[in-house]
Amino acid sequence: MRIVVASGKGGTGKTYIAASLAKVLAPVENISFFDADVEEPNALLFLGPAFGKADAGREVQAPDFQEELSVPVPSVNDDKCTACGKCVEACSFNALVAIGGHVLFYSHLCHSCGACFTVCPEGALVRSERRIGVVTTYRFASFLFCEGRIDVGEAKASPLIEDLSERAGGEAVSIIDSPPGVSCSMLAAVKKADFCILVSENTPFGLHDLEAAVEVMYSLSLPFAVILNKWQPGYTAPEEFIKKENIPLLLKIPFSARLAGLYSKQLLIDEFDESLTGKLKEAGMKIIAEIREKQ
Amino acid sequence: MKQIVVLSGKGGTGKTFVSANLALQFDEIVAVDADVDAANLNILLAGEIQRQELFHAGKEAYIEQDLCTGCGLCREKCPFDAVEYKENTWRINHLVCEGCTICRDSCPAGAVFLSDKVSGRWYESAFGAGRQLFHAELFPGQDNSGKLVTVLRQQAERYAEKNGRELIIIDGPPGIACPAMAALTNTDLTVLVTEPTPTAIDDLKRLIGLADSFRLKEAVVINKAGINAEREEEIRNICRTSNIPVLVSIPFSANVPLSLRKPGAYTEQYNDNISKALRSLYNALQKEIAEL
Repeated sequence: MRIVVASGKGGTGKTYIAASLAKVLAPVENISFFDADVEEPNALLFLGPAFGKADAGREVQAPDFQEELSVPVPSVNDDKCTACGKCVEACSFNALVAIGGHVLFYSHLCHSCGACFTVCPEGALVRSERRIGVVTTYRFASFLFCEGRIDVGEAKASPLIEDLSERAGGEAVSIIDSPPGVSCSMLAAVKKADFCILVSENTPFGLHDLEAAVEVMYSLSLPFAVILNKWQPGYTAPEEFIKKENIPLLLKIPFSARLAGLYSKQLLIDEFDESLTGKLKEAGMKIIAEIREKQ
Repeated sequence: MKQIVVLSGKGGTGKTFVSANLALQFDEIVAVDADVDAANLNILLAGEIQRQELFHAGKEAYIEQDLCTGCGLCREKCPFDAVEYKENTWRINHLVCEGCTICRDSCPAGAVFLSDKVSGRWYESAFGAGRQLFHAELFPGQDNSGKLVTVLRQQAERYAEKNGRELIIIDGPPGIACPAMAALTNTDLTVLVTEPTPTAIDDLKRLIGLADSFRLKEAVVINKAGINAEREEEIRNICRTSNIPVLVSIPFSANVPLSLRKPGAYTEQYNDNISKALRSLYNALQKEIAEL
């Protein structure tokens, strides 16, 4: 099963909560963790130290395996190409351009749909590959950790996120850390979810972006619940919204300088507050039970 | 005309807070909210919308049900898994469809068509006599956030040229991929907002790598200072090694999230060491701009 932690706004505490959830559930469930925030994969900074594979500092020991992820792209064989323009016409993303009797390929515009291959009458398009990032796997004693990391300078993250989402699921309880936002990257992370946890913060910024994330949940008909992080009294609009929409509120985590300090030392929520940790574990168990019931 | 982009890699380090509080200290400025899927800048700037336009990008397929024979070939051919069978009909899931036309071209009944996709809306707003904001909302689940950022920036540049504005400040998105690249390309200065946490530092390094590859001048703002002295020193060391100036360090405080509840400048609500830091950031930035 896939439990995806997403947010809308960045920096609301997705990674922290996803990693904390993995840590509290690992003793009782078969957990696997997928860091799909591929532009800024940070979960290992928390889970590495938490699961003892790290040394005293920040570096985690060598991974168990590392694979490059590539997407299929065409390359033009100039000897065969007659520059007839059929591929240019077939490409909906302007990735192929005919100039002066040659067809040029702009790989950063390519969506890897494969339309160009199907129309070329000369067999002049050769299937080639472009690397977009790396998937790294660590086998911790109690669970599997997998991280996607997009190459710096690479524009399109969703194929890498989809690859991670494919690896997740199955018998294990896969916790997936989604990228922020509500555009294609976030969609790639949440679309196969069995349940989403939306992490928001108790500010007008948090509310604005939570509303957008909730809209994605509705349009994909995904079951979901909210965690309100960095909570300070005196601002009730997010809670009113959650109540009005009948969304379960799993947890309120207070705004706290001590918690920010723990975060900066790569320590998870179990070091902060016992009762909060208990509630997080309970919420996680309940979500898992609900998903199992449906399956 | 100079362009400054505020970026962070990691989300939630305070990009929008810094951008808004900088923009409000200039009498004349053009601001751009380039975080189009979490557009919060106008919550603080409270600009009045003067103009709005739909944002069209790409195409999406739809199936004409009267013509569809239900063969399911479109589903088989779709590279994006966007064709669904629901309530006895074949349908295109528009959140997933990328508009490649393979379904249309392979449909034996000619039942699939493509239409222009409306992916969002952009706005032009005024937040003071000499201050103009260009912002947008990408509709949830849409592609093409980078293109929308480019549209906003073109509009802002046109406005700045026409009205003789000297400075554009761009509140960027988190991350380092498509929308972040669209926000930082062809700018004059990248302001990197970071915080003394290992996650933010990791992302800062990746972002410096990206900005370096674009050959951009960089400057750093350390936000939430005081939560971890060791990490703060690490940031300063990175900046020293990479020859990047640290413009200011803004202390960690519960007042910052509290201040977001009301629009306007932080200094209108509080007079504390954060107000002081925001003023010195403005001065430091003016110096950097003068050197560009």
